[in-house]
Amino acid sequence: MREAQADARREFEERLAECGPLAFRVARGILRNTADAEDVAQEALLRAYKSFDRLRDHNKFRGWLVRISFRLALDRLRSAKRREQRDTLWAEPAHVPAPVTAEDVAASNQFQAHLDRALEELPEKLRLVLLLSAMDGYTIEEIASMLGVPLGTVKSRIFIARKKLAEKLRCHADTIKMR
Amino acid sequence: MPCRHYKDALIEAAASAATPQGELRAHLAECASCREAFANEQFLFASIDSSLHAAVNTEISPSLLPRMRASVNGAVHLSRSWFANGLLWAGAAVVLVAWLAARGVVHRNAENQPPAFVASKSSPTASVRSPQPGVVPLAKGAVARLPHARALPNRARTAVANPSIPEVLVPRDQQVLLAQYAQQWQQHRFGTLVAGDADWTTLTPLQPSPIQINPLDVKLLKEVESK
Repeated sequence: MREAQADARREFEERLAECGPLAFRVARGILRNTADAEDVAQEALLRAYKSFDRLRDHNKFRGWLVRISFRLALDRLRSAKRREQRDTLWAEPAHVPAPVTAEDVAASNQFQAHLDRALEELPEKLRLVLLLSAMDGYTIEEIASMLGVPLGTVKSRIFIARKKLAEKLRCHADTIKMR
Repeated sequence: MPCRHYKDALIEAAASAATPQGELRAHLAECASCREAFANEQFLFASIDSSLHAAVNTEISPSLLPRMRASVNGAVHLSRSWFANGLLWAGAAVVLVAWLAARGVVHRNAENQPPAFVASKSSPTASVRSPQPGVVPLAKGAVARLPHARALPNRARTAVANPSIPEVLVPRDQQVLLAQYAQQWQQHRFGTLVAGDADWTTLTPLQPSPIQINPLDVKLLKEVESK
């Protein structure tokens, strides 16, 4: 019994080294904040560890962890938004300092804000695939096997997601062009 | 403005990051506005990709993995301590249940023992102080089993069962008879008791000691006043 537990733990630690950064990156892609993403990745790993014995196919661990991390990050983002809205309602109008940096930074920040909004409006399936495809070191084939979906599905999801984002950001093309 | 006919084809070509082919390629070579629109689309998609890439591929803090390991280890220790605590509590519960069960058995055995109706001076019940000479308290368990005890109201029965109070005071000359009566009752020989097969003549009547009241000395009020 103890040996089996020790084996499971050893296996989990090996996977942790491999999948920890992946969980962090997925969370970072959603939250755009390193500290929050680290918290989410830690929580995702803890949850994964607690249920590791119940996972029948340990080869699916990566995809499983990615989904946990993705969902936790979305939850955190939503609760942060709610908190922000509440704070804005109750607080006095905040004094926003005038941008003192260069125009391109301002333009880039504006574009980033629009992109974040557009990403939030994307369906979750598309969003996850898009984030994974943007990561270094993961091919489309790997993403397909990670998520357990056909290769064609991954390709079409990436295509649709990018198109949807472009539709929403096209009107801000001038802002981008300023850079 | 791009030509309406090629607009969708331009976007699709830019989205798939593929080089335009066939008719679209030929059109782009001829139409400057479509070329500009295609360049804009390519720029838009490139911006989206680079922004996403930057967001996702940030540098990972070297302390992240050790922290993750530590939190997992913490969870392991926590679950172990939960397990140990659970074992401890389960053990305590088992001991408590066993103690209660043993106590119940002992109590039941004590109740099933034949009552020591006649208490000699050396017996523990004799140590209970008798209010009158020649009157000895009856054992507690015996009282509860006596037929009249059932007829008593709850409060009275509780009071009788209280060990600090002498329960039934039996004069010495009645003790043997009462013991026999209780024994018959215990053996469920109600017929004997009720039908009167027993030799009632041997039962000596109870002889309570008469109450001694000093005669009242009544004097007239006037006499007292004159004195």
